[in-house]
Amino acid sequence: MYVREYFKKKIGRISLPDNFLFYIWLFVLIVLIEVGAYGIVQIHTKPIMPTQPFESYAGVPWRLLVATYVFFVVSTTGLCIVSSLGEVFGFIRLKPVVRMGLLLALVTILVGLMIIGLEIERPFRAPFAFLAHVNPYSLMFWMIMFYALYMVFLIIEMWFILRDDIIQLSIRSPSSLGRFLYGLISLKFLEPVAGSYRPKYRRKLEHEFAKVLGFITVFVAIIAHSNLGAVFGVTYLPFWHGPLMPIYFILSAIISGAAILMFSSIITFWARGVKIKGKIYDSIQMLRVVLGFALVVDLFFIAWKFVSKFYFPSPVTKEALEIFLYGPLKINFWVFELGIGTLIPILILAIPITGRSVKWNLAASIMTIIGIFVLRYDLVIGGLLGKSISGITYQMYSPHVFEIMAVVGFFALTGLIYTIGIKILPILGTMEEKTGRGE
Amino acid sequence: MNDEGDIKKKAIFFGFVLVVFVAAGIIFYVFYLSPPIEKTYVQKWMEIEASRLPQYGSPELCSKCHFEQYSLWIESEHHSSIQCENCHGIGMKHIENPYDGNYMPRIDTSREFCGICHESIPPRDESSAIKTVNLSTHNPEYSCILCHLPHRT
Amino acid sequence: MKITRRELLTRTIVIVLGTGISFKSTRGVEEEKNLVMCIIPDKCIGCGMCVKACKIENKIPVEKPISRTWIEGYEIKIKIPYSESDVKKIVMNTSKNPFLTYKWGDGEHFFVPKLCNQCQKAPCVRVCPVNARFYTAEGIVLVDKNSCIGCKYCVTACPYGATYLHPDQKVTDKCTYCYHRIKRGFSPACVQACPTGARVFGDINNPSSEVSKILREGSVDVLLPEEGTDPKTFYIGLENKFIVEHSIATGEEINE
Repeated sequence: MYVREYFKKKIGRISLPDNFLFYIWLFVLIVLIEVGAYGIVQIHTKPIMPTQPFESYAGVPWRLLVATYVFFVVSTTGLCIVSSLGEVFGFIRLKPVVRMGLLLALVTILVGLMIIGLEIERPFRAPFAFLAHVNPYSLMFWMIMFYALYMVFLIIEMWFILRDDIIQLSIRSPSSLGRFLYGLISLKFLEPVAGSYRPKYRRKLEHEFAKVLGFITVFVAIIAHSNLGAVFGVTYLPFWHGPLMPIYFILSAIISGAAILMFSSIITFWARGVKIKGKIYDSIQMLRVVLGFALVVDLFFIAWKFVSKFYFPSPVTKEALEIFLYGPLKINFWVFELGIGTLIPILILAIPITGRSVKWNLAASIMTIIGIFVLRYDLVIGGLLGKSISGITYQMYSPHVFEIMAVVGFFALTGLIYTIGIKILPILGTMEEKTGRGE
Repeated sequence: MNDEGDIKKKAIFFGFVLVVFVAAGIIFYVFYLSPPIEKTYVQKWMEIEASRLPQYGSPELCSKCHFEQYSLWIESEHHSSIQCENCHGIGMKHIENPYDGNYMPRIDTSREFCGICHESIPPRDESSAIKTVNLSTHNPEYSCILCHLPHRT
Repeated sequence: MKITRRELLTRTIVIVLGTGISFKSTRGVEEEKNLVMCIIPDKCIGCGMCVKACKIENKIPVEKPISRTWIEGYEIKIKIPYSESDVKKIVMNTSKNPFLTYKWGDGEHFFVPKLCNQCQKAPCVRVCPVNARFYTAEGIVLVDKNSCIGCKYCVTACPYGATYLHPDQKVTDKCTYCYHRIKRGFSPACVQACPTGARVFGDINNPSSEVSKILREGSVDVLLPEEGTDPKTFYIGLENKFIVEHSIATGEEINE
């Protein structure tokens, strides 16, 4: 808003379209997506992937893209859990951000599955392989299966939640194309009575069914997500190995989900010119409680994990943690994971003056998101570097520039799909009806 | 009130039916449809893997043409335990195209080549299986084969 | 194939009950041959013939530092308690031989040739999501390169570091005991290339084979027995070495 005012003063004479900032935003996103696409193509055409044996640290098999995939699916699970708190489990204060959370969950699972599909060496083979010959003993197979199921359930759930509003949109939309498309999406022709009136019974049933579906979706999401934790947990690598990994994944999912929902809801409300007060403010305060609580639990989790593995200097577990405490990942661990990712956000959220301010909440959520991303990176890379090998000194794996480009592209893609979703779906529906059509 | 309870029950029932159908579909697919397809894949790959042509021959194959050298070598004192292709390089291509210059076996008589096995380095101590010399002090400047004939020793 | 409803029901019940227990195996009915490899590190002189032979035989890029089999040279200062810097490991996995040029210091030196252990309970087979890895009738683990999607989970899961990503084929690759050679009656390329007989290959079910004799006489170790992978590559006489490295562990006597 301030930027728009500034531009208007600056370029006063030229009449800008009202939403020119929006077009700039779209343009930047599309450019970044192209950068990412270039990176992905380069990754698959040029042999930048490990050409060294795993033991030599240059041949780390799972890299930045896997870390990003983990980040995205952690986020989607967290978003689904946090949204369901509002939708299914009766945290009614979260109501204003529930739809946003579900949309973001859908976007992140789509992009997440896309990342892992493009990360593997034979992307064109994978869909067929997963349809033809699968190994029921492989946790990775079940992980993909459950994430796919989760995606399907999530789409159905969102459809049932949004259907009523989409039908309204299909009636009120100014363009005939819009009317047609909204009618098609909502399957309006199945309605017995044409027009905007719908019997209460049907709406009620749809609403209840959406709730049931929401419950199933959360359940499937948690299954899928703990499966992802187990993918790491079953390996012999000392940092990963253990039954706590799946539980830890679920816990960190809540952090990730609450932080991302807080961040994106504040940004979206600002961008759409919705004043953050009243019920919306309450919902963000609720997210603050959820995020703060999850962060504190996570702090204890990290602390005891490290203490229990470091207490007796068994060479196996010790070497795995040395990387984090004073090895090549020490800055990532102390500064990003602990400082920026956990301690400072806890402080910001806990102190009343900062905790009640929306801007400080935004800062805390951004810090948490950065911390979580670094944490995912450290989890994947650090676990693999922790393969204890005597006689070889630590070398740090550093991401290739193409990998970084690809990651940037995926984030931009997330932003783009989310923006389009906000534009065309009645995500902020109830608020916008009062203030006209928004932008 | 009663009506709302009915709606709830109905919704839960629909959800339950959906879950059962999905679960049944997955079980059917994973345990019934997938294994037979996978078996054919395995069979196919075993055939492909077994049909690859070996590159590395054996001394018996070499003896078909180079019988003179073979008979010398087979009675040699120490080198009889190693195969022709260890020193002369991979030979299957040479067997297929005996007169093709690209696939001619290697005859390397340099000191470095002998040193690959016979250079004295700390891990090759007295108990090691091969006699070693220090190449930098053991008659430098002379070719090994002046004294040691590889097919006889 | 027709399945009656009753059959379907019983099969479903069996599957539901037995998912945790039953082992999906593609092994044939007759298990006549059980091919194993025996490695005698004492005899290894670090010449690297096996590495070169394997790479040419299996068309692995020779100058890239990936290999189906490789030699590890150790230099260990015997000291109690030992620290990380007392163990030096040099790896030969290209045609260049680093052992000849390395400045060996004091301490105990020895070579350990390594390759895929052909585990009978292989982690890589267990974790592969698309069943691209399987056991043959001889108990050899093969990679179906037409099915592999390159997720690299097997690379992560293998405790021996024996599987890797083939840079040209973009699928994972590992030692097959030269399956195409043993099917034709040859021995694997590395065994044939070894000048000192540090690698012995044969059928363990045949009591008169060389492998069976060696396994009966010597003290037999496998690498990382605590992982429970049940390897088929045995190591003879590792116990006289200074055991520090996790991947050179002692234990598990084989009673044949």
